[in-house]
Amino acid sequence: MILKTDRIAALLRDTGAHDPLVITPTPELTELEECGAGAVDFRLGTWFVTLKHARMEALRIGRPNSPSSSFRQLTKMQYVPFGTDYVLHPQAFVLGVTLEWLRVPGNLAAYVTGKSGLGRCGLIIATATGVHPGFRGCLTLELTNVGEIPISITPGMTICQIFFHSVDAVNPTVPGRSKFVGWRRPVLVELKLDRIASQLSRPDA
Amino acid sequence: MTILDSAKQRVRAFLDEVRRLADLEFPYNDSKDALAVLQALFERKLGRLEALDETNDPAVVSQEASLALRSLFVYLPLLGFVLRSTNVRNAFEVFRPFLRLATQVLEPDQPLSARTTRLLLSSEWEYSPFTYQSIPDLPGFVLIGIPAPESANPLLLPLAGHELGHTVWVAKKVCDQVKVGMTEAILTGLTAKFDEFNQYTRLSLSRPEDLVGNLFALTEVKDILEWAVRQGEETFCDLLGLRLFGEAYLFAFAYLLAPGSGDRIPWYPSLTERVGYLVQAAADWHLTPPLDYEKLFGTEVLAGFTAYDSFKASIADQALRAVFPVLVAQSKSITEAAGVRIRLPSEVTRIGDRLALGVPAEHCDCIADIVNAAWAVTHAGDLWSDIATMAGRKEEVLKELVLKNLEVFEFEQLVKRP
Repeated sequence: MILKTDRIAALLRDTGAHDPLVITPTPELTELEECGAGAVDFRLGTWFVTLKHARMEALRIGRPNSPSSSFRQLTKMQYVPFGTDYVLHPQAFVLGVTLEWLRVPGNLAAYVTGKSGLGRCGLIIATATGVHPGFRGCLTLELTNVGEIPISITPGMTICQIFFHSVDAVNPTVPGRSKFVGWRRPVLVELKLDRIASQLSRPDA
Repeated sequence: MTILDSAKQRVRAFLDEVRRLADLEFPYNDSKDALAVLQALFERKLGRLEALDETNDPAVVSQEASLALRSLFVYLPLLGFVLRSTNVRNAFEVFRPFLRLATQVLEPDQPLSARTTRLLLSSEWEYSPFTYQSIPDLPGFVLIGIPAPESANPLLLPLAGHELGHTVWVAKKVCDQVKVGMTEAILTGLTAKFDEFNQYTRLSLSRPEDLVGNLFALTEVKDILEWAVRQGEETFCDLLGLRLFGEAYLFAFAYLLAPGSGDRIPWYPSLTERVGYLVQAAADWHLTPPLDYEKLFGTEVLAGFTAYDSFKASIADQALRAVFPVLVAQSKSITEAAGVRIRLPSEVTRIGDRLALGVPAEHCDCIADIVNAAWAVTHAGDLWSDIATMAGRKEEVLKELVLKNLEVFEFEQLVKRP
């Protein structure tokens, strides 16, 4: 069940809860209570990650003997302070991050979507949208300009919206195991094939 | 190639490098402003060199070339400093809050719009944090270098407070407050050990009055005073760091220096003395040093120095001891005049509770509260033990969280501007 913003505001106000929902900086709670929406707007943070195309043969996902063994070698981190712009050119892909640090309790999950106004300008916000119970940190955003003209974005602007929904679990206190927990900057981690995919990818398969 | 040709070429090469650096991505304009000042300075120098030719007096040419060369020696390392201030390993979230603190301390009487302090925070390949002092052509710039491996560690921010102290020492003329007292203490110390002084210097002075009447003796006194003043400056910087950051300064200091390398240099107070002074001032200001703090540090010896150096250092130590209360009072009055309060225990607890919950705190009004809360949280043995994905990388997550907290603090400051 998706939580309406007045319910989200009530959860955010309950700072003494054992396992609270926290969004920092906290959105305007009165506004949340009154807007009657189904999602909370999040803002763009100050860090961006781009890929160094010229150094990359390919992003070989899940290959242990990949020549490009470290994603860190293939990425460039940029800091864009408040009050300055970041220009996203057509077809450019960049990882951004939310300004807000989010703490999701064990009985909630969330998903990230773009904002229709930005989408109509050609700015696509996120594709991997699930936020698991127990998540803590800033959310990495996958920003792409699918339009034909450059788009200027600035840290602090509203960039995406987060829908929260309750989780039906036998034991909601079991902590989530997201590997993207506890980061303030966009995260690009090396992906590993799971057991079955690894079996399938063996040379003698 | 003549001396003049090579001098011009060297300055042109420097200017080319300045222009290349100006194309970097600068998170904050202060570094770029510093480059612009250096560019203007060296363009003037180049102009002076270009105005010379073979018809000029060779002594004039040589003098001008020498001046330009000296400037290159001074300013080339600064270009590297500017370059490293743009590196993304730096904790850029710290920049604006620390600049605000520095401005508050250095220009407390100026209205916000008239404040001119600018800050370069860089990550350097020196183990100890340091500052460039007295750069004549960069007035108003505070330049602080943090060791590269620790440059994203906000828990060490208090050490930048120490480095800021060097700028404050000059700007507030703190030296003038202690120099007379130090000189008197040195003369008293030498009078008490008059025979020993005579033995070391072989000056054969007949009476203590000769310490200031004999030119050679006076040179020795001035040497000791120079060491004492430098010791006084370091101690003042420690006190300012302690005043600005409270117990967090003690933790950061110990993190960086304990147990010590064992070697002392005479123009620094010994580590034992520094720690003793910190603990003494902490008590005066109702701060609580960690239990057995002094025991974290070992003793130091003046390795590689003569017995006379040790003697002079002991006299300089006495001079510092004599003016220590003045330094305590100065650091207190400067921070009070700037309206910088000492960390607030209730705020430290409130922020610490949020960090322990795994979230940044809101509505902070002092970076010292945030950094003290972070240190307090590091001492909680069971921090995030119930969160498998965070428990394994506690130090890393805490740094991320504290930097986010500083950014949230900055965000709130910007949003509430009139």
